[in-house]
Amino acid sequence: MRRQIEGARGVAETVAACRPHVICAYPITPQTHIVEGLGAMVKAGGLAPCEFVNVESEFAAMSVAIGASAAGARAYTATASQGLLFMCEALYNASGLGLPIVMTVANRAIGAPINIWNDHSDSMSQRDSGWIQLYAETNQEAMDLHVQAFRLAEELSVPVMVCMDGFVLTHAVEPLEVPAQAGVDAFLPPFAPRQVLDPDDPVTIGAMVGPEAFTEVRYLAFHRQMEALRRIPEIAAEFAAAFGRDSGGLLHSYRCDDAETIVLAMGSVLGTLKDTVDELRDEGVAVGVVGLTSFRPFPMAAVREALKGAERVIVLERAFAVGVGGIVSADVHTALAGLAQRRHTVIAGLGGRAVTRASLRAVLADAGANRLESLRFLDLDVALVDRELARVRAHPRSGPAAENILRDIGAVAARPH
Amino acid sequence: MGTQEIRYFQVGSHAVGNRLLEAGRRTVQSDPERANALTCGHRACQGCGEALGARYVVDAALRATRGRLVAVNATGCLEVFSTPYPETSWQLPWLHSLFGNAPAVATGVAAALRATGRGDVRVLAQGGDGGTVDIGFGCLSGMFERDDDVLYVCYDNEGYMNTGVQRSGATPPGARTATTEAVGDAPGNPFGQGKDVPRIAMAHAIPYVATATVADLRDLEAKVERAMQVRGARYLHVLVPCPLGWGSPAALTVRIARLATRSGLFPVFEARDGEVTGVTPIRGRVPVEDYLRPQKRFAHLFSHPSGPAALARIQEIADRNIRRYGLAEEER
Repeated sequence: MRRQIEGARGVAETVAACRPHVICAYPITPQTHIVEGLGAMVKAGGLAPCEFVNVESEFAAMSVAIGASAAGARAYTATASQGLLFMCEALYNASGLGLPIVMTVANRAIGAPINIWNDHSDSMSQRDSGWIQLYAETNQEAMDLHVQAFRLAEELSVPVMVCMDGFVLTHAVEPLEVPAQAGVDAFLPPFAPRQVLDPDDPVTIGAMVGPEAFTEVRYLAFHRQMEALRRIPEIAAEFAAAFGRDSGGLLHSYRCDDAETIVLAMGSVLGTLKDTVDELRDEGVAVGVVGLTSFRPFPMAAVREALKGAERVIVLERAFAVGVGGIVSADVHTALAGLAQRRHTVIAGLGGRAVTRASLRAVLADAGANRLESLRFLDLDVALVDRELARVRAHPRSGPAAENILRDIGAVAARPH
Repeated sequence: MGTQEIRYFQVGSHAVGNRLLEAGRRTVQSDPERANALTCGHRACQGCGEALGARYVVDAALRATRGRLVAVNATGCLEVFSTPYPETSWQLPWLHSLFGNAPAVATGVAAALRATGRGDVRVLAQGGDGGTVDIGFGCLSGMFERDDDVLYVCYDNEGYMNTGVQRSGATPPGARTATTEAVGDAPGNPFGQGKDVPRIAMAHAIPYVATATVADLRDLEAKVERAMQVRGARYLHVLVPCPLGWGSPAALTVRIARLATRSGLFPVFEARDGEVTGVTPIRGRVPVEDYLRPQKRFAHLFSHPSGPAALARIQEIADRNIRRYGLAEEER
């Protein structure tokens, strides 16, 4: 039954349907509505015997999840942005120990400058943390991915991050179908941990490992994600059979048949991108879109298969590696090694900047006219940047760059320097 | 046959004391059926106070819980010396995650046990002073504040010994460490305000807080037993001399721990719900010099011109402890 609800509420109800044992909560915008919703459900007794733990930091949130998972509980938490960074050490620990924790990341920029709006800087910074990362295009997919994430995590004993765009998805109210309890119960078997703290069968978890075995233990983490490459599409197919919806999988191609140019992207920007492609297709321009759902593991073969026919590939990214360029692009380029294609990276939508159809049309027009650089920052205000660069050259103490730029655009009424 | 009221100092040795006691009052370690939770073969240094303390704590906790116990460990000496893969010394379910998160991990274990219908299984968390008073402090305070059902034991050897004897928030004033060298005008660790975690734990008004040392192992066991009779957040702070970091002979670990209490520098007490409910009075009080002199980390206090003033300040700390907790035997 479809109901008009907020994305965060939909995720909260979906997680509840997955019958978690332990939920750890620490507030950070824009994921707060998820744990608020779950907290209310636990407090009202609807999720008994679930334990809802209000912790003192994200580092503690992930640590509580680690302890809970190792003791045989289905553990869940949600975070974003600075919170994800604050739990970074524990993230690596959870994956290193092979604990199947599921976490929602309500994608948000990382400061400084502090910014609460959406981009992918947070989860991208944890791309090598050993967590599976699935990116939702829509709120419906975000909800459905959580059911699949628990299944995948527990089958492979590996933690899974479900990434959904902050505000754009978490705070959007729209008709959504929360996976029904009976369906989830049939799809998601009770948690049968591979390792568990049990006085009747004591094990040591988290022992020190030296050079004699470290490589093998780490290789197994890689192996688990390679298994996930096989299981993600299978689980998505099972989900489609059970719930009647296509959600998840490794990637999705949209109007890519005979496309000269294909744009690859992740998350909610795919909606705008598809609208743009629809317009251009109507005008006879041969463009298509690939939406990447699974960023970790990265589906090399599937990406190559999806993009190999295009003359031009554009990777549209909501984050970037300072000093290099695209993050997703690097993996896409690896997947396409040896193919003669034009390849471009477009960095877009940082810190919540809207990615508009007009901007996307301009990028695709430039690409078609061979005017698109290998790396472009979409809608970058070059004049604004140049003014700050001139200030830096002119004054040894030019002041904080962010404040200067805000003053230039009139966003702060501060005295000039 | 009747039994005799025993005061431990009268017999000098716990082995003799055990023979004189009723079976029910004998130490856990005197029981041939004890758990041996931390088995031999681990890699602690000779004379390690932490290994001694941990063995007594974990075995006592296992007896108190009839073996229904899970242990969580912070990174540190105890974790490193007990688990080089695949030679774990632990005979109970044991989890190590990180340096600074043991209290939170223990919270998670306790929550999981409740949520999965195994609330009879109890949780013991262990860490050194670095993992407790410094890097794990936020998680510790959170666990206290929520009153999670965890006994947290801090084995305090007053420094980061595992990484090569650096200063921690528990390093006492005047002590030489690798990051507070015995050089300059004021050699050793500067005099700060200290970080008295047992008192901070009491400020959380958690149901049980106690201090102990490896000089009085029956007292340590008894406190673990009492702690395990209570539900909620509990804290036990155990002074464990470190021959390596303190520069003390391995054979003197127990004696130095006893001198710490006899000098008044380490008050031994018990508190419930934020109020002190019992103290171990000092028998045969000694000046702080008697405790400090056998330890090379304090050697400069006895040779450097600033030594007498520093020793006087350390004596003031001991005197304040004795007044604050009423440790002088004549006061009782």
